[in-house]
Amino acid sequence: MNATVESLEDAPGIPLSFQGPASARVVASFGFWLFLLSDIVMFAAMFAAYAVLSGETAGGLSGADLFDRRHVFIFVGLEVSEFFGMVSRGAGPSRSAFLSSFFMLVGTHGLHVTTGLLWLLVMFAQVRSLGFRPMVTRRLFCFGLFWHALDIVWVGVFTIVYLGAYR
Amino acid sequence: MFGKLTWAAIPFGEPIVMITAAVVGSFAFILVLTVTIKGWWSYLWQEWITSVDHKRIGVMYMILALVMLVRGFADALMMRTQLALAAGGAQGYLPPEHYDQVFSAHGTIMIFFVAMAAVVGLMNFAVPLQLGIRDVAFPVLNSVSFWLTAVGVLLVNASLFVGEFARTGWLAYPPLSEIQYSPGVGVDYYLWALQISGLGTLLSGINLTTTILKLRAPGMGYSRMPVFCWTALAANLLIVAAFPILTATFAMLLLDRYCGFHFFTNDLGGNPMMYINLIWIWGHPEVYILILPAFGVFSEVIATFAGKPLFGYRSMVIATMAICVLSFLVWLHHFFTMGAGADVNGFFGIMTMIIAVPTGVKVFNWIFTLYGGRIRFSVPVYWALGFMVTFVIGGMTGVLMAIPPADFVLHNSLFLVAHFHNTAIGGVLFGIMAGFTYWFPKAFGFRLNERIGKAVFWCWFIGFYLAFMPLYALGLKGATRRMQHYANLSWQPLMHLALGGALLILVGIALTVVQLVVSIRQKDKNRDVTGDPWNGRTLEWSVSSPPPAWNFAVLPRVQRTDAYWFQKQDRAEMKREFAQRSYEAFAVPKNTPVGFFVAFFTAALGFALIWRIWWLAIIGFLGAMAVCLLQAWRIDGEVQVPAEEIAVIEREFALKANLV
Repeated sequence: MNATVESLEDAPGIPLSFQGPASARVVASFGFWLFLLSDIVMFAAMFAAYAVLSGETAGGLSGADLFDRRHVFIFVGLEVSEFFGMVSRGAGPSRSAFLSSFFMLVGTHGLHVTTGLLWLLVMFAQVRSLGFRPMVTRRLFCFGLFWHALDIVWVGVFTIVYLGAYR
Repeated sequence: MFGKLTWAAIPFGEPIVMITAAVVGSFAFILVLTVTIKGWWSYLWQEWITSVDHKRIGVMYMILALVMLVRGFADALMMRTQLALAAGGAQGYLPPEHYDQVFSAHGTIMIFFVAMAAVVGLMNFAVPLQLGIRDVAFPVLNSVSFWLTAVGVLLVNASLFVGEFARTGWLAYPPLSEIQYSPGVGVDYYLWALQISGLGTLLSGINLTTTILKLRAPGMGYSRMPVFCWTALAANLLIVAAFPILTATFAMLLLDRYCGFHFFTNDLGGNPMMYINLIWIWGHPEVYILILPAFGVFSEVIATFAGKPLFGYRSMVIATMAICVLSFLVWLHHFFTMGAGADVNGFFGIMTMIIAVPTGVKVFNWIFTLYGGRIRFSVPVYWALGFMVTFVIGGMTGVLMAIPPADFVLHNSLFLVAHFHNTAIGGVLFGIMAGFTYWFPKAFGFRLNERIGKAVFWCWFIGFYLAFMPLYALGLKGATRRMQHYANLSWQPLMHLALGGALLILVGIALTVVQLVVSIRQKDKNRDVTGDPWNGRTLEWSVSSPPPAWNFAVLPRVQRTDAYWFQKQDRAEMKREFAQRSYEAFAVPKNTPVGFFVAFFTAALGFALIWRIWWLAIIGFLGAMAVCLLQAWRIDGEVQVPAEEIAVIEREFALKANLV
C-alpha cells in the first residue's frame, strides 16, 4: 500500500468523489433531498392531472367562481375553511373532474403541511428530551428542507391553481 | 364491524381455490411446526427477521422472489392449460371471471414481487460489497423497505383465499377498474398491495442511490465503480423519479373508488386516457429498472468468466445513463392506438428506436469482451450467452412494434405478449438466475451444483422458445391477449406447443429447488474458503464467503477499475499488507424489529382499507406511527465491535485463504 493512497481522505487535491464515505450528516441530508425530489415528482403528477382536468367542470362552478381572492394569501387554516365552504356550495370533489383534481392537489399540500406541523411538535419534544445531539440536529436540518420544499409547492399551487383561475 | 368482510368472501364453492388453500395451508403449518420443534424461532427472529444487514435483507428478497415465482408460475400454467383446452366448442376449466383474475395476478406478481424483489435483492446484496463499504446508507430503513414489500406479497396472496383479485389486467386500466365496473374488493387488493410495496421500493431506491453516490471506499471515483453499481445507480435513480408517479396515479384511482372523485370516470369530465398516460410514465422506466441491473450482472459475469476487463467500460457507463434518461421519453409507445395523431406517434416511435441504440452498444461490448477471452463455461455464462441470443430477438420485435402502423396491427395481440416475455424472461429472469448463481457462494460460502444448474438453464432456455415462439405466430394470425377461449381450431396445435414449453419451464423451476437441496447437502464438497470462487475482479471477492456482518474490517483503497483483480496480481504484496494491518474498533448498527412491526401494522391497515373496516384501519395507522416515533427516540442504535474480535475473524479468514 503506497503513501499517496493512504492519505486520500485528508488530501486537498483529491476530488471529492475519490475521498471515501461521506459523513453521517451529509448522507442523511442527501438521502432526504432525494426523498424531497421524489415528493416533488409526486406533486408534479398531480399538477399534470390538474392541468389536464382544470377545464372539465362538467357544467359546475369553475375556479374563478369559487376561489375567494382574500383566502388566497393565507393558507392551512383557511384551506380547511375554504374546503368546507366549497362543499357547502355543492362544489365538493365528486362534482366534477376539475374539483377532484383541485381537492387532491391542494389537499395533499395541506396533508403535507399538517405532517410538517406534527413533525415540528416531535422535534420540540426531541430537543427537550435528547438535546441538540447530532442525531437531532440532522433531523432538524431535514425538517427545514421539508418545510421549505412545501413553500415551493405552494408557489406552484398559488400560481397554477389560484392565479390561473383568473386568467 | 367488519365492513364488507363476511363469510361469503371466502370462495368455498370453488374447488381450485379450496385445494390451493389446503395445500398452502398445510405447507405453512408444516413449516411453522418444523421451526417450532427444532427451536429455530429465536434464531430466525434475531438473525433474519430483525436483521439490518444488507446481505441478509438481500437474501430475504431473493427468497420472497423465489416463493412468488412459484405462485406466479402456477398462474401461468393455469392459463396455458386453459388455452390448450378451450378451442372451438370446448370451454376449458376456467370460467372467464376466474381466468381474468389469474392473468391479472400473474402479471402483477411477476413484475412487482418476482422481478422487482429479485432485482432489489441482488442490488442490496452486491452493491455495498462492490463499493467496498460496510452497509447501505440507512440500514434500518432498508429493513422497513423489505418488510413493506412483504406486506404487498401478503395482501396479494390473501386475495386468493379471502375475497378476490382484480380482473382488470396487471395495470388496472379505468374505467374498468372504477367502482361502477369493478365493485368488488379485487381492485382494492391490487391498489393497496402495490401502494404499500411501492412505498417500500421508493424508500429502497432512495437508500441505494444515497449509498452509491455518497458511500464508496476511498479512491473509488465514479470512473472506477463496477458496472453493476452503475446499472444499480441508474435503476435506483429511475425508482426515485418514477415510483412517486405510480403512487400519485393509484391515489387518484383510490379517490375515485373510495370517495367518488372523477379523475378517470367516463362522466363529469373524468379522463381515462390520463390514467393510461400516467401509469406508463411510471411503467416504461419500470421496464428499465428491471433490465438495467440484469445488464449489470451480465457485465460482471462476462468479464469474470472471460478473464478480461470489460470491453468499453466508458461506453457501457454512457449507454447505461443514456437509457436511464431516454426511458422517460418513450411511454406513449404502449398505446399508439390512443389516437394522439401522426406527429406524436412518430416522435415516440423514433424515440423508441433510438433507445435501442445504447442497448446495441452494450451487446457489442459483451461480445468484444468475450472475443479472445479464455471463457470458462460455468452456469452464469450459460445464462449470459442465452440472454444475448434471446434478448436481441426480443429487442428486435420491440423495434418492430415501435413503428406505429405495425403497432396498430399487433397492439394487444399475443405477438406483444411474446415480445415482452422475450425481454422479461430472456433479459430480466436470465439475469436474475445468472446473478443468483454468481453471488450464491458469496452469500452462503459454497457453490451451487453445476450439473443441475446447467439442466435448469436448458429447461428455461428451450422451454422459453417452445412457449413463446408459437405466441408470435398466433399473434400474427390475430390471437389477442387476455383471451379465455377461441373459436379457431387451427390455433390449437400452437397452443399445445406453448403448453409443452411451459411444462419444460416447470421442470426448470423444480430443478432449481432440487439444485438448492443437493447443493446444501454437498456443501462441504463445494465450499469456498478463499472468498474468490470464480477468480473475480471486483471487491466483493476480496472478503470471506460469507462476509462478516461488517463486510470490510479495513476499508479497501481503490486505485483503478477491477480493483481486486489488480490487487491479487501481487500476492506477496497482499500478504505483506495483511501482516501489517492494525484493526480499529468501529460501530455497526444493531438489529431492530422496527421494520417488522411497521409492516405488521401496515398489513392491518392495508387489509382494513380493502375491506373498509375503519376501526382497524385507524389502529393500523396509529400503530405504524407509534413504532416510528419509538424508533425516533432510540439512541443506542449502534454497537461497537472491539478491535480484538475483528482481528480474530480476519486472521481466521487469512489462514484459510492462504494470505499469511
